[in-house]
Amino acid sequence: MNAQPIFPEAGPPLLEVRDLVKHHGRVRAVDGVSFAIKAGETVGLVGESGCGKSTLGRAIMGLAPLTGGEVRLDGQVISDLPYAQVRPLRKRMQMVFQDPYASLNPRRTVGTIIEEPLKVHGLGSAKARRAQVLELMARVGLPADAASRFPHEFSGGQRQRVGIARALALNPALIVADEPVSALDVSVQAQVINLMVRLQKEMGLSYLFISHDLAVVHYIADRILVMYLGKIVEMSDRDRVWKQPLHPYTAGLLAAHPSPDPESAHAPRLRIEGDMPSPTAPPPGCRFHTRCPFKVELCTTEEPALRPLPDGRTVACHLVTVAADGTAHSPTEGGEVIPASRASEPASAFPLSHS
Amino acid sequence: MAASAPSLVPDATPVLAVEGLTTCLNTRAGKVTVVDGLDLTVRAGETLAIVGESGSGKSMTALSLMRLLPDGVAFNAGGAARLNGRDLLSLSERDMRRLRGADISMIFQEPMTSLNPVMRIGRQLMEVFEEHRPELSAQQRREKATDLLKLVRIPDPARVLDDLPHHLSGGMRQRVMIAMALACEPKLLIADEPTTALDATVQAQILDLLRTLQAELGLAIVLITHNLGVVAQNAHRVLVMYAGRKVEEAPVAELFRTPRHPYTRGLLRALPNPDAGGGREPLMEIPGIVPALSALPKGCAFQPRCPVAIDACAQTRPALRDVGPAKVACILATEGVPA
Repeated sequence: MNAQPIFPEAGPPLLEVRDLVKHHGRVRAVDGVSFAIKAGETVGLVGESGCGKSTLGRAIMGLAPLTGGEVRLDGQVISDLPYAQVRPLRKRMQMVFQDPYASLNPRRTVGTIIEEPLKVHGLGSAKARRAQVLELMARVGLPADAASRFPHEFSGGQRQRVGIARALALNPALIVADEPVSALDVSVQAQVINLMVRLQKEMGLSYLFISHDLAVVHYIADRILVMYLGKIVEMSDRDRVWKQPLHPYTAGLLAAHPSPDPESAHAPRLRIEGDMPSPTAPPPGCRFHTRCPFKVELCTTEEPALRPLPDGRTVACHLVTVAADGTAHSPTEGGEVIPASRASEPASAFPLSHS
Repeated sequence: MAASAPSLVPDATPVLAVEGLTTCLNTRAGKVTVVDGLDLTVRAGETLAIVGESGSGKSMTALSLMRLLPDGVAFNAGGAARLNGRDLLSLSERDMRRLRGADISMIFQEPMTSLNPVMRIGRQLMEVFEEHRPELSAQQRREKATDLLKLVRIPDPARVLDDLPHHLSGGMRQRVMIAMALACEPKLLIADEPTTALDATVQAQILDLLRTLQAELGLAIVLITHNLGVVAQNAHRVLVMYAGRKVEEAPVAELFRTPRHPYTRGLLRALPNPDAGGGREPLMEIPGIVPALSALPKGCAFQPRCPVAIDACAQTRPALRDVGPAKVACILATEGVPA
């Protein structure tokens, strides 16, 4: 868990997403996203509702055809190929959903639900499958008698364990987890996060962990992607996202996170005003410029490219600068934060607050 | 002002003083107590946070105080709730109706469910005045509605008056709800998960607004939330509920610095805390789940999940007692934090 893990360039990354575009009619949900996940790595994908993070997860999983771009697993293109052709590869990617209840068939027993992927892929005899189900249940901390019971008999946390056991059945290399702990109470959330971390160590899993909760993502991820209106605005290692965010949106998201420490209440805050514009008509130039307190003329006309920086991070902001010694600097540095007292200024201080 | 922790007004008489509030629910399994003998007070300019997980009774407390319990499903089974001396629980429905929205107001998690989807914002705001301020002319009502939208920092209020709720973003709708709640200058605002449905950046805006309005208007606020970060940044005092009961109450800094009930400690330690460093020690888990209220364990309700429980914890229900500056319902609670 070094800040800059060095991976031998032995082969292609486990997952590679290139220029992925996914539009729903006029809604430009995902608008050109590229990134990679290495074997054993956890990548956190964070952003607010409507930023396209769930759509991106589903598009990677092949749950909906892409509008453009491609997805590669172990170097092989898996997007937009006939299912039969990619089926053996698809086994290597599984998904865990936010609402474990909605994603579990209420009329099937937990044992049947966990066994289903094995059946679909025709793996093992009925007896061998049953043994494997019991082993999976033990692995995720479900009691053996759970196999004959129905989802509604379980708490939210237990149901999420069922969802995880089902995802593990085919021994995947990658799990795409879409807000897996968001519906759970704090005390149970910790149980599920600990379980996912332990399973990763035991099974060498990679995760794409999608969440709106920056603290949870920071805890579990090695690297973090920040998404805004269908685009990635920053990619960085977990600690630098938290300690030295580069993009003003990342900084604002961080400042908006209420710290469970009353003593930190006096820290200066950067307040992002207004709401995210509609993804049917993203603003020209930088998509964040309508809410950015640092914007200049250029930001309103020219879309900033996602550019790699010498320090290993990647950012899409015209105003991030690189000094002669290679260090990157955010426009939010240098005490130029917007005091939260702006919130109490007259109404005219709020730009673009409603549409 | 909005950036700093709100300052406490000491020694003011409580706006609301609740004693022994008890609320029951009729279920198939019989009568279940969802709020069990709850005491609380809130002063002008003060925010009392009620924090707890699902099923703790925090929302039922709010509905009980507003007298909005679903008919035939839940009912008040005892206690008193004095708002400036008048007991809300013994008022006639007619008197309560007059008080609701005027002296005591409430905002909810999802503003869309509380706003009429086919009525323009202005009309809905003016309706509040028709109910509570019949002496105002139509012109005055419209002016007051505009002022309210300005109060909650809605840009272009004249235009928003003619909007329908679905024209507005979630954050703007919550601002409208707050405007409606403040229309008749209430003394007490009950906010039940007011920002839970909102995105992080918008949540921060709404919480800033509530703090600013509290400072301007001297509101007493009961803030009901599951989010400990929201509690830390917005409350003066915190009341922790578990299985229908208060298990701990303390000033906010005290509660976060020295949580004395094992459940409070468990909640705080279960949260990932990026500020504590880059490590990835396993998060503290609270084993098991919240017990069903129809089948509470003997003794302390938290005892089966408690890492430090002793035999005595399963014998009698611990009474709430003063431990340092806090009130704690745990026989093991001490002045400092046990190891």
